[in-house]
Amino acid sequence: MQQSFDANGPRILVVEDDPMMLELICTRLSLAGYRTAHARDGHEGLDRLRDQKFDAMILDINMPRLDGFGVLEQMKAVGNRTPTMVLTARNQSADVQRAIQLGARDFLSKPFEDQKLLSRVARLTRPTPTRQPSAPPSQPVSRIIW
Amino acid sequence: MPEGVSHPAAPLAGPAEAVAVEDPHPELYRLLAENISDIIIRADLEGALVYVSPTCRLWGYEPEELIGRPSTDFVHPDDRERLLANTAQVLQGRRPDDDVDRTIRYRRKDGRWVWLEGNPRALRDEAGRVSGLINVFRDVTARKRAEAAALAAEAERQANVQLFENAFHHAPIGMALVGLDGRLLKINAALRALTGYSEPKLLSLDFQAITYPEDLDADLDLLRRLTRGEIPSYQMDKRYVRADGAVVWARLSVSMVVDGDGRPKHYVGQVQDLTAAHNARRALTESERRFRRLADNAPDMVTESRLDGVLTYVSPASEAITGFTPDELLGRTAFAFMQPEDAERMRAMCQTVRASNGAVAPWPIQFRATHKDGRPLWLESKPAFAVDPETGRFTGLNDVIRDVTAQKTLETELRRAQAEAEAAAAAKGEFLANMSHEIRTPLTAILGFAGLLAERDEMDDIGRGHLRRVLSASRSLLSIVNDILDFSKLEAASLELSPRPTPLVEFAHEVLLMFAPDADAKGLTLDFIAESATPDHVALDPDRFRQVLFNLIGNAIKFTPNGTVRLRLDYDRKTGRLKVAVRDSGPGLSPADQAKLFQRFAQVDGSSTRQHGGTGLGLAICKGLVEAMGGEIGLESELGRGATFWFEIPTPIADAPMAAAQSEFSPSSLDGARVLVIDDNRANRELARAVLEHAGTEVTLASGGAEGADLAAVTPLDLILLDRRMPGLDGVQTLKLIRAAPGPNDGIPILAFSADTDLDTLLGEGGFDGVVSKPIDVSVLIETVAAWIQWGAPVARLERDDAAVV
Repeated sequence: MQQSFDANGPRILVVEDDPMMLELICTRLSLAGYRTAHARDGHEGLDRLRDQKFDAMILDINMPRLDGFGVLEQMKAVGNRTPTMVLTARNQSADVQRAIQLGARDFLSKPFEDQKLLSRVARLTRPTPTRQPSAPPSQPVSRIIW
Repeated sequence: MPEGVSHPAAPLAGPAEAVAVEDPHPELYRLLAENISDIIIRADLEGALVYVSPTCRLWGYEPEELIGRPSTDFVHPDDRERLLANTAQVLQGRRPDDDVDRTIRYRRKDGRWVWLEGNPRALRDEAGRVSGLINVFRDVTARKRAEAAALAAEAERQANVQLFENAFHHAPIGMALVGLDGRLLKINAALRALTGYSEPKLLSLDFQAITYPEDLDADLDLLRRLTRGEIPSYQMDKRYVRADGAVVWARLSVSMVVDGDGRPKHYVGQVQDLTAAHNARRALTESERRFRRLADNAPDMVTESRLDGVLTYVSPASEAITGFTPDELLGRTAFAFMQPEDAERMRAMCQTVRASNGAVAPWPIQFRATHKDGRPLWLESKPAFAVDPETGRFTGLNDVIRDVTAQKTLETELRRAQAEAEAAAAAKGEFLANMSHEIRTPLTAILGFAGLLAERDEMDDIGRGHLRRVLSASRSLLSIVNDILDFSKLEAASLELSPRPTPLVEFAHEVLLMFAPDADAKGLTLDFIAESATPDHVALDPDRFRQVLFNLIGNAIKFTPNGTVRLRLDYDRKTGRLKVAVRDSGPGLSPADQAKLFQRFAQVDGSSTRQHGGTGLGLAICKGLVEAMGGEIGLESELGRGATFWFEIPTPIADAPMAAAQSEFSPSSLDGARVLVIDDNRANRELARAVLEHAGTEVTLASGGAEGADLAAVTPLDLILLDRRMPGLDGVQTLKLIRAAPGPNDGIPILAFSADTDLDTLLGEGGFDGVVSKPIDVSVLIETVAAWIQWGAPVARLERDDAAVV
């Protein structure tokens, strides 16, 4: 079921009704080594989720037919826990709160910078730590244990 | 002749056996003495009775029982002195004076007193010496009684006269005896006072002379009828002319006095001054007339009603206001014209006022009513209770009712207009927000794709140049759109400020330096002055502070062709206010332009927009921001002499979060990362924030475990710094809480913020991902955080089983 494209990068589903936005995000993620799939509204997004497993999903809130909240509700109802980041308008903190209550793990407000998009997606796809008494991932470990 | 009898009118008398002297006609004397009603006695020099005529039987005595007793035994005690005095004179041989009172009261046998008039004469012996006396008593009781009665009658008459005189003279009303010809015969003080004439003057006049001419005929007519006996008396209200010419109202009562033959003698007139009463009545009438005039002519409807609401008076204005004439309203209740709920309010008001006994004043009530023609009316009632002045009880309700329909309509319209204006403002705000959002979305695409394009290697230099312009133009468009959104938030007062300790001087200087390239391009000098009182750190919202500075400095550079732009900071430690001034050497502004300056969308002139661009919102936003920070903004300028824009905001001095913020670390590694610092120690929190914010991190603070866990449940984060030891939930408990709750942060790294060295416990049982030791070492903190949020290259994780297929 795993489609090997040109990399083994994490699979990201992008659900966004604005084709320019969709293309931009997908291009950005591809360039960064992710594999992407897309959907143009909530229903399509749920269809994709039903068909495949994704490592993460980028979900626009404001969409026709079924909006991002609707998608989150449906996911919650069937127990789909794909880590999701919602895209919101600027300073819409109420939307963010609502999305998080519905199970979103992160948000990104438009407009966003490339770097932020990438770091948020990276956070989203980061494996849950195994919670072993382990060293942190990079070299400052030596300085911490001091 | 009996001896000693010197007067033929007092014949000697005495019983034969008692009279020692020889009596030539004893039978004759006896007969005489025994048959006359007078009582004759003879007494010796000592006053003892020697002879008493049998007529003493009239008193109930027998002569025998009187003989030998002193006559004074029978005399009234009050009269004894007189009797003795009279007797002494006689015994001394003198004749008693004729005018001496010789009436004496003697006691009858039955104890009653009789008045006797004596006529004592001396008895002489042969030698001519007084040997005793003889007295003839006549019973004068009847005469005495008559005399007493006459005296009493006279006394009573005198008293009555006195009474009349007193009454006459001291009567509070004017009184006069008037002759048949009208001449004033006798007058009293009250009448003098009433007429103002002296007594002699008044007595020289007749009543006709002091009567007001118009009232004379009526008076004379009545007087004639009285004189003819057609009426027993009369009374009339008439006017008199006073001595000073003034006219007085009086009530005249006249009766006639007749003589013994029934012929008219004179008249008695009583004159009561009515001036006061008349004035009072006239004042009352006048005031009533005035009230009616007012009520009748008032544009407001004046009503009077009983306590049950039934109308007893309605002014004519009712017709203009309600369409009903007063007659149509009288007898109906005022409540009947009100809408039921208004009538209820009116009743409630009346009850409240009455229950308070007047302590609560009635208040105006607006009520709805219906015009006779059916259209709705708004009326305003201003009621007042009528109170009985004697008892203080409410007797009714007086009301002034005004037509406030127009006013009400206006109010309603105003309210509607206001609501519409508010709705329009809200719609405008929403429109601005929506529009800025709609514009931003394509802008994001433009910026994003231009960025993608810029990364392509095959672009030639010309292409890159064009692309840079696209990017630059897009960024400025984005900043304009952001301005608009800020402005709409300011208008809706929904801007949130988060003041925190900020290194003021350094911060402001950095903002100024950001304009160095623009200033250099125009050849402008940038100056920076911080007055000595300026503290190192103050509490303010640095983002908003920067935004204002940016605008002011940007404007100054934009409008200044050459010279200097100077940023000056001054701080008043007394008031805790920071004053920031941006002075330029530009063209300056006229007063008219200055006035327009802070208005939204206004630029000084249209050409300026074309020349300099911009939304015209910059200064309006600055004003809004400064005011939101509790300060004020203004400018001083003179045409041709540059301008100084300044703002002043309250900024408490803040503790410096140590010099740690001055880190040499590149902030880029942490740019945009979100860190939650949970620590009960404020200094630690602030230090961590200062360090991390300097490195570009968005920092959220919590002062305890519970607060931190709550925040973590709803705010997506990249990392949590968690103090180990805290009151309440400690670090380990808080960590477990955050990990256990499904949420945006259940998998993120949590670092122990601890002075402990027992790392094994923290990382093992404690469950922490890492440790940042206290005291904080700036570079360690930043490196540690950066290490944990270096996401690195994407990592496939499809092997994980939690991405279940729907």
